[in-house]
Amino acid sequence: MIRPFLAASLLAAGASLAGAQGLSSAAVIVSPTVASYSIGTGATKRTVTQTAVPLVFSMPVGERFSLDVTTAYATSDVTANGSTQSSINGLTDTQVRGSFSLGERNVVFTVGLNLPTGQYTIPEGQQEAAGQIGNDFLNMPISSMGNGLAGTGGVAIARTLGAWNLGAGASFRKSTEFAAFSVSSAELRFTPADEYRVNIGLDRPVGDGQVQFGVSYSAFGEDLADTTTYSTGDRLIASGAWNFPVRSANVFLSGWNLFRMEGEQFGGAAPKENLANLSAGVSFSAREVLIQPTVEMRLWQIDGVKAGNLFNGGVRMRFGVGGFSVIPAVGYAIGNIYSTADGSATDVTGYRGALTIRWN
Amino acid sequence: MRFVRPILALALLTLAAAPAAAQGAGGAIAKLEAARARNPQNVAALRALGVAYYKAQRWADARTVLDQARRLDPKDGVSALYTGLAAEQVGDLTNARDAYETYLRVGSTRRTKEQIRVRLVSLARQEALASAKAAVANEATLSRTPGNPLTVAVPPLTFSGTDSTLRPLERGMADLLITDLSKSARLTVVERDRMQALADEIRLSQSARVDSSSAVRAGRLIQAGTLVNGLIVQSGANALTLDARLVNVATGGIGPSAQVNNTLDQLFDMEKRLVFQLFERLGVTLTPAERQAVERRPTGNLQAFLSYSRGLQAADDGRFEDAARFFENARTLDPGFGAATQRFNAAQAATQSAAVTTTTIESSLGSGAEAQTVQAAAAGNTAPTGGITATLNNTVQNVNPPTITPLTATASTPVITTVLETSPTPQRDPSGNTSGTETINRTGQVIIVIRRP
Repeated sequence: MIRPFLAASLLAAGASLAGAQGLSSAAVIVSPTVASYSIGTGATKRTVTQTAVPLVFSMPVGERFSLDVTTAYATSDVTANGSTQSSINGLTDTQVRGSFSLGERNVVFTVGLNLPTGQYTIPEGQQEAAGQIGNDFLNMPISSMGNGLAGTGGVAIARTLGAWNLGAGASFRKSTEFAAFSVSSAELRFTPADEYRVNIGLDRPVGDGQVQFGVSYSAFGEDLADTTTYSTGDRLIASGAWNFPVRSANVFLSGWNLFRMEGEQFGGAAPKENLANLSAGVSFSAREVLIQPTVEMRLWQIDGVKAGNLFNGGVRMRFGVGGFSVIPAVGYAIGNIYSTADGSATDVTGYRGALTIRWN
Repeated sequence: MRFVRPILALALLTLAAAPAAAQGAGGAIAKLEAARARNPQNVAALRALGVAYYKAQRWADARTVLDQARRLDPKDGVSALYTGLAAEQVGDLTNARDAYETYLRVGSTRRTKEQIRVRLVSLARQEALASAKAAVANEATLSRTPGNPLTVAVPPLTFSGTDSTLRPLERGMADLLITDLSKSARLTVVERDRMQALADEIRLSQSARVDSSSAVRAGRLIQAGTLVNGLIVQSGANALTLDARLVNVATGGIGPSAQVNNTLDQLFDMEKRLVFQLFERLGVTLTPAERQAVERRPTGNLQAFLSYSRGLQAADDGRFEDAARFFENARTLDPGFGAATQRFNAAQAATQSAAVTTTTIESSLGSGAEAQTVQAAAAGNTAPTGGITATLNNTVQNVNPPTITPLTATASTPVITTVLETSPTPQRDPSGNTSGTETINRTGQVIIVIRRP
């Protein structure tokens, strides 16, 4: 619920009604991004770096149907002592999503197809890099190179309840088998579990601002690795956000909490974990440039034990060049990860830069 | 559980800030006037101000700013809708109709469009009546201005015979003649409804039935140059004579006439022969295409046409439910009778028109995107800060999220803002989680999770 909330907020700042009512034309977005995190210091320091070029194409088809296609090219490396330990690069999977709205456009059917255009079979030398980018705590731009063919179908509805808007939706994701690992010339076939997802959200205007709350619950079936089954713990994400104007600026406060229940992995239970994130930002205009500095705090727990914290600070801007919107962004992160066994801390630092260009 | 606190804090802040939303109309207008002053070309500000003026019953002010908004963005549905509503409030039916028709093209709320379609039927009748009243009021002036001889009016024919079930043909035959005469590009034929409205107005002013002299008067008021004065004479059980005389409206003088005879079952053939004679008497030479169009028959089913004619009679009497029933029967008897279907729809709309007012039109916006825009305007905001559409988009994004988290792109979600997000909620794939490969590796040890069967 956070993303669209900020969407509405920033649109209000830009006084662009079209955004609030939906895009009416095709859009192409390219967003070259570099993100890097260093874990540890001295000889034990390892650095995970990703350079990604996501590409998005969205297009309405008639009044009620819309389509978007998303893919990326990404290079991810894990280095230690100046030498590359593991790397993976190439095109990621391609996601095609379509939405069809009914009635007063308060009911939407959505479908998604994950096309296996990326590298989904990971040989031994690439496994560390492929694994590191998937971590929730670091939240790399590209978290997976490939997951095989999968499809998602869902429905969403929205209604008003007095001053509140209520949104509710459900979806089902079905994945097909793919060769996940390649070790010693042998392949491990892997079938990700089915996923059932429900979401409920509430929002309402407050003054010239808006508040928003949401809950998403995902239940996973059993993953199948060759003939052995595993299970991912069910996931609950709660979020809240508030934006409001202060003089000529807009202030944004938001937070989300991800709780993953106990699952099953090789060697026993996968522990439950919790990830919480709070952020605050303010946007204001200087001439024709929208400027948005933000701060963010992220806290990670595994099985109730502190596992990490991360503090981010950054600034983003937006301005127009001809028919393009240009959004440069930079950020710096500092924090720690902790051993859940003895509580020992390891430093984490990182940076992130992106240059997003949008045309429509 | 400590993360519950921020959410509670947000909730409390929400409650604390809520009263700010309940500002009065005056405050909203002042705020929007300030927004317009800052940027007089801002469509959102003009539209919101127009809506706020309308809500405050400042109809003229509303029209002024909404007209500006429409000039800047002709495709804005809310501006068109509220222009129509404001125009109705000040009795400007023509502009109201124009604005409503624009809304039908560019608006997005289905229920409001349904209401508008009904309202347009009512507006057309009101317009015709208003025009008739104005004509009667200006009779002295209009009478001094002779109409063009090629502007033709066809009042209902007069039936003479023993079978009263044929009397509705008075209107049915007039309708056919109007339809056929209109096929010539050289003639301007007065619309039936307009002529009827004027006849009604004259009847009201005279408290008497419209006779041939009052028809001439109506023709004069409507600026017709020629009146087709028709007769349907039943002779015997099954024989009919159709007679039509051209009347010079300016002088009242009778001009050339046309006449055809045959049996009732040849009615449509008779009407075609009569209309071709009228073209000849009027000095109009039809092109081959026009002749072909005139020869086309809307129906060949006499019973369907009789029912259609009864429907016209009922509609003229203001009995729209009866009219709808007759038209429905006509199209049942002849499913290809397009005029019957059109009249049925109009009669249906007329029966509903009493229940459609500017208030019901406004409330029909419901809770869609346009309603959110109106609500925002009433609160003094130029644009909705969220709205049901945004809520729906959020839900779609949450049940079918993009795989590349920083970039969310759909046709309904503004991508520009999503890339500005501080921290997208993780949407980790389950395979990485299950295999444990996503765990941050602090030691450099490669963990390969493979369990041999």
